[in-house]
Amino acid sequence: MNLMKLSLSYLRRRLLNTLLNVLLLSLGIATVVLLLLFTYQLEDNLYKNAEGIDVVVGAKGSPIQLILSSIYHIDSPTGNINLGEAKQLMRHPMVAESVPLALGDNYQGYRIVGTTTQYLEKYAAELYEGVLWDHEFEIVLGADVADNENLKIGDTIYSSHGFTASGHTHDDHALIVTGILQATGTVIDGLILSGVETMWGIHEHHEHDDEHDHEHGHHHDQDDDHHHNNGHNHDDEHHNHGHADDHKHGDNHHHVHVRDITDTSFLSDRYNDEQITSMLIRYSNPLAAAQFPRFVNENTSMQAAAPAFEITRLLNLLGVGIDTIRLFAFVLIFASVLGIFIALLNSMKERKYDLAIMRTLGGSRFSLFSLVIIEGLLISLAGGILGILLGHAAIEVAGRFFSEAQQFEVTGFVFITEEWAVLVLALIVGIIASIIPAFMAYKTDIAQTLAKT
Amino acid sequence: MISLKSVRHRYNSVNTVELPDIDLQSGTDLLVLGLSGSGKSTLLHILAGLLKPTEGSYTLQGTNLYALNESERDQYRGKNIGVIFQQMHLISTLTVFDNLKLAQYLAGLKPNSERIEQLCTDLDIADKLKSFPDELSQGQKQRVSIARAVVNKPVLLLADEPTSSLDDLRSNDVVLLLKDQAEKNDATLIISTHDHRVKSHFNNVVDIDKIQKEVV
Repeated sequence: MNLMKLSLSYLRRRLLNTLLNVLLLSLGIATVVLLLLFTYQLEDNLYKNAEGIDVVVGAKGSPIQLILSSIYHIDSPTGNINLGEAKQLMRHPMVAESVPLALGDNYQGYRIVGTTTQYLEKYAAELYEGVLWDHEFEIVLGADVADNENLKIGDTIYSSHGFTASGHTHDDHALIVTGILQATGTVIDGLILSGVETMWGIHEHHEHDDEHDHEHGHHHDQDDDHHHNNGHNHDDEHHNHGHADDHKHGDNHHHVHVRDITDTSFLSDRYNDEQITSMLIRYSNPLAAAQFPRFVNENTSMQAAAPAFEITRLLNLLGVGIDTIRLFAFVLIFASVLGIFIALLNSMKERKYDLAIMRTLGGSRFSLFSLVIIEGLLISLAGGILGILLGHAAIEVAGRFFSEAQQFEVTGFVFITEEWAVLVLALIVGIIASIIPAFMAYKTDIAQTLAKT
Repeated sequence: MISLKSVRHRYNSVNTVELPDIDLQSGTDLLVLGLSGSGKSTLLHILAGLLKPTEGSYTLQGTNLYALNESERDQYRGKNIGVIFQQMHLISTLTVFDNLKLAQYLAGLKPNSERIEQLCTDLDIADKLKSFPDELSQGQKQRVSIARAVVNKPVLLLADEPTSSLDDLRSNDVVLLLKDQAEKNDATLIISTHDHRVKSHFNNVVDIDKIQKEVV
């Protein structure tokens, strides 16, 4: 028998009330934990994925959108840039490294990225099995893509236009899986990678005919068995739009000859009129940060956006929302302080004889004080622990159901040191809520209480 | 063993209670008779170390109880004085067994389950150890409260109106039970009551009504 056991017996007596208070506090704590985990993982993700990228160059538009689409692969790209113009920037003395990105297609929502092997090096992504692409239409899968879609080496897939699975399918160009990457914990896990030319190859026949998209779709559906004809149709359309190398591509439709791809093959001058989405650039010296973006923005038709700056801006924008939710969390926690306080206060009235008897039996004023504080602490400890568990569960559930988070994995299985502070916060709540009732217990006048019987 | 000398307790400017001098040898029982409001409860509370009198001295086994600081007095009371109230005031959230263990714990004594079991067997409530107070009859509750008062083997056993709500037969039983327990635990028994039925069991009787006077 000790004070803890006695406190527990009182909490058990008013079980419903105790559970309600535990639940109320745990909701507040869960919200705080959720925010902590979310911002921690968001920042971690944002900075981790942008490592080694000093600036992103892409089509003019919203710089945040450019960063989101080119680094994190959420949101649509701002547009395309001309490879010829981009190549001039690649040769700029302030540029130490530039990785091209050609976006525009997806498979089951996983984005297909035309790039070079430097992109894999950026994320320290290594092959789990297979080999990297060295031909057109060969692809390498991020770990999550292979896992979730059950794809193996040698499998073929057909990409869809756009960034959602429901887009128009390019079913005349089978993409063949040649490699699967190890999990890296970065965006690359959710991407499908190929050479830049593959992206051009997929779009060869309809790159400029967005307005014919529907019609095009019908063609595909109806003429599935007539690839040859189909190919010719597309070729015709291409001619109308004046592509230099149409003839060659027209032939390639039959997958007889596919282009060889190396990390530099896309730089060939014959592709100067092709387009890419953006470039991830690393500076040759730190001073470039001040000059290079201005140079790009003022002298080219492209824009340069620095991830470090845009991430900060994004977090500041999110900060308003996060502060609002945090305020809400503290309202919940304050409500639970009141709840515990009122419950203890009421129980002091019910228990005044118990308290007097405890003193008669030899308990000190401090024992009674401790008894009530222990009750407050037990409720708040339970609320705190439950809250932390709920917070983790909530973020895990959110991570699984929040579709935009595909490239932005949040998990409930990360624990951060700040959670100790949250637990301390919960215990402080318990002490604040119980200090006045505890003091009332401390002050109980035994003789007077017992005389009233 | 018990010595109460010229004790007065002043509640407020119009209400002062003057108490009789008491000098009791160890093993001598005492009955304090008096009507409600006569100061019986005041006397009992002072004897129990629960109420510090404004004047006078009180020693129990040579210890001047009110010279101790409050928590020392709490400890002393827990170990040496057992009190039985008219209302049992058992802790309703604890079983009979835990109620008795709590008395050991609060007095700062080691838990002693054997003592509890032996005592409850003696008081015929051994089968109720796992029961909660709500599940007991009035008589059983009273036995538990007697057990709680004597579990730490006090030198002084105080009972406040233990018989007032009982019929003649039961009243007699309870007094005999208290005397029996006091004797078995070598405790001095002091009962305060307005119930004259109890009188026949005691050689020492203080009629507080005759001594008490209102002081303005």
